[in-house]
Amino acid sequence: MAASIPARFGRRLAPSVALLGVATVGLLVVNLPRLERADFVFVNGAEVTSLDPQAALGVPEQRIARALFECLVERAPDGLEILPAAAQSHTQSADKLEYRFQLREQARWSNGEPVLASDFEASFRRMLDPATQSPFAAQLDVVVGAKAYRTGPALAGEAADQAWSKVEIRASGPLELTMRLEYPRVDFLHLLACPQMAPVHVASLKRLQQDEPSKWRRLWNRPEHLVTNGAFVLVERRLNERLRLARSSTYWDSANVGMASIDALSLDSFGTALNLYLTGEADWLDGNVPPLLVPTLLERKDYQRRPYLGTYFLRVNTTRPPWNDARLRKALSLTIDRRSICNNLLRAGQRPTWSLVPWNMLGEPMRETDYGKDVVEAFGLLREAGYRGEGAKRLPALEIHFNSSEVHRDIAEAVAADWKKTMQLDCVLVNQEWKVYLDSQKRLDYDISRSSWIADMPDALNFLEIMVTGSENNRTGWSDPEYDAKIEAARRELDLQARKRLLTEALDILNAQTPVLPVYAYVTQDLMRPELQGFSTNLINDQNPKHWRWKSGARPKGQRGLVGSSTAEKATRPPKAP
Amino acid sequence: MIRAALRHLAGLVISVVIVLAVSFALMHAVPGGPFDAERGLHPEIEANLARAYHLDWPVWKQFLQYIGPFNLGPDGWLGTGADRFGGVLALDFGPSLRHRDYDVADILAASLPVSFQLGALALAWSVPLGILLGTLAAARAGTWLDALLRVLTTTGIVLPGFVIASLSLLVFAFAWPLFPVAGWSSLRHMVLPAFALGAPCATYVARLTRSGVLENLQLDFVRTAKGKGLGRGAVIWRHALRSALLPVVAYLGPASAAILTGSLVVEKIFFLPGAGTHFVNSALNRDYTLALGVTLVYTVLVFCLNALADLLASFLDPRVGGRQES
Repeated sequence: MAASIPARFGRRLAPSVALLGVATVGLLVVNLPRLERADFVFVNGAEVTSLDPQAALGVPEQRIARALFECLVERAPDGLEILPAAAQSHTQSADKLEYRFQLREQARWSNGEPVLASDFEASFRRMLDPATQSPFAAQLDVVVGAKAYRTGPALAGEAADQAWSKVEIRASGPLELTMRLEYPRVDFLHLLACPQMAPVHVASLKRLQQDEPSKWRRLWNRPEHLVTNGAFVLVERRLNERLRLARSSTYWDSANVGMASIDALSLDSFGTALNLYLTGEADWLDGNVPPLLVPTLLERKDYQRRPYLGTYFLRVNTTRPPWNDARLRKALSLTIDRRSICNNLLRAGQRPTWSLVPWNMLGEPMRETDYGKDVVEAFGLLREAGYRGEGAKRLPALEIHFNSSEVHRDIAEAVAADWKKTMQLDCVLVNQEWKVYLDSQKRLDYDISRSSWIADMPDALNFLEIMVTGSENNRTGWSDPEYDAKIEAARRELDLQARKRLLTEALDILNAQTPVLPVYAYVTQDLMRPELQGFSTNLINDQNPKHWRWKSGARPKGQRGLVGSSTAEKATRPPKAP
Repeated sequence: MIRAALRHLAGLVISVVIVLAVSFALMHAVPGGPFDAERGLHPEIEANLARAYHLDWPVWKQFLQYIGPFNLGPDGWLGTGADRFGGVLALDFGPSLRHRDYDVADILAASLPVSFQLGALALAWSVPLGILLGTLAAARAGTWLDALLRVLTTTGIVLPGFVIASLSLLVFAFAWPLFPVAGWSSLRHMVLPAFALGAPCATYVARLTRSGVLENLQLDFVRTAKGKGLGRGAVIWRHALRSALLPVVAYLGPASAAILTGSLVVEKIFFLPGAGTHFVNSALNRDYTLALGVTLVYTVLVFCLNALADLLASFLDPRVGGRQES
């Protein structure tokens, strides 16, 4: 023990000194940025992928794009009608091929510059440019020249201008934008109302790209650089925490914007979101309520459910025998006890569906439900195919793929039990991590794969389109030339009645062939302060934050704990056919 | 001294490169890619995306590009001009594939301070308390106090983090509304998460300390100290405890690295923008660059904290320190 005095001293004190050090560092870096509560706080789900509207992939991104940017036209709160937005009016040529949009004289970008037709042209051009990698570029294929431009080589300079001159999206005046279509489409304006069709300020973006060639991508969507034309501007962005938006003073209709500030919380845990709502820290949250919580929430007045254009279904790999036989697929569909799944598992008002197009959108009559009869019909089909009765073949075991989630497991178990009980069909449940599940679905490496589809336009075509041959969303190996022809004809059909007829015929083919097994139609599930007004109750849950306002003009003082509860509204009603 | 430091540094760089290479290979071997979604992409658009992020290159070439320090040009081997340098060795961790408006460096810079603050706070209460309780339990071994502490620490170890977090929320945010339920904007917001994050650590430290002190109390040097006529308190606190802390310090190296980099569970329940979330979500999202970025940070942190733990151990027990010099 020949240690010197300082060393001894050090030994004794070292642990406490180290701990103190850690603690001090911890407290020194405490630099808590304070933010006053926004006028309106809502839970927006997972962190947005990007603020670039041309990359607005999911519901969270689209809500933010709606708040920050304004399209040429917008959907009315009912989701069906089209209203003027950035364009105060538009005209169509007699052949319905040419659209002319008149922009507003008083419209301004958030940097004070006027919103010009050339801005829209540049923005659509940016969207179609292969270098932008916009996942929505293909939606504009109906515009003359658009497909050739987006699938062509990435060009620069004069060659690019040359290529662009063949695309019929043109600023025909400072405030007039002209677009010309290859063929007339009845839903073209609905398409333009989608948030990903909003304009970005290409001039400032280009400046930034020049000044910061390597860093522009991460600088662009910061409050100090992002130029927007919508009702709100971006004030602050905290990754994985919140987006703070404030009413834009340069917006042409700013006097009618209800909320002075909005916080969109990047939060995808329902439990935490519910805690925030219950303590008054959030004013609205929606999304998938865990079924276990549904009965509790049903007691609350502020838990609201409405029909939602989404279908939960199972894909069948039609390339694997014996499931290439439509009769067997139909038998699979008939023997699923959907009513029991909706009533016993989900319980929030989801509606059993036998059709990929949910909520009887095409005005078809509601299907009579008699599970017993369906099973008998399924037995008939099995017998016909040689899988029932004398010398029947045995159905091979099925693998049901689903991505990790309690609900998906419960549904898969219920379906497997139904099939076992009725057809003595053995099922293996395969739980896969999200990306693995998507990958095996894409490669058709499954028997049955859980799926869902949410419409981004209130249109049955939006659902039926996914099943055409070669669609990247088909993923069943199923293909029917007659079906493809009906869909293609419906796309070009201008007469609404004839269009509906074509879609109904296509749906009949799909139902007969059964490459997908529809299970239930979605409902929206909102928890929302009753004092909120201007909330849209349309079928695609398309919200325009511009219209949100508090009943009394200001947010009611925070209520803690449970808000008044009473008997819940029972089942949700089916919507009127759009 | 300098040579030792250099040796450490070389070891660090080699470990980092190996860890990154293995992680890179594993990430790319897993099925699914960053741009796979429920809604499929048109093949041309998918190809555009893959090209933009070099995902169409062979994996070894992607790795070379990622490590740097030279950028690989689109056709030739090396980039030119301002774009010559890139990759981890040029301190460029690339853009995130999931958070398209951010570079990996931005994401780490935004989330690590939150995790460090919270982690430091959690360590600051849990380690001293754990040592204190462990020593108390050893000093009163076999009494009701020992039994009580044992029950408490066992509970703390076996209870998963989300249970502790939910229970503390239930009690201190709902039943007795002392603290906010979630968020990150004041010191009050930190209390419950710091408690939930530190609790397992405190209980583990308490158990390690107790068994260490108990063991030491049987040893000759403690008997000698007693024989010298030292009081019971002095024997325990000054002699038995000091070397009993060795396993605690060894545990704290990697444990504090884990605590300082955040925890998915605590961050999710309390809605904190920390780095723990990225450890899990970047892998789930196939956000290759971000996953490698957090792996890199974690590797460096474990390395440094282990070195610090070694240093501390040599202060506590000269025999440990002597090993390095000889």
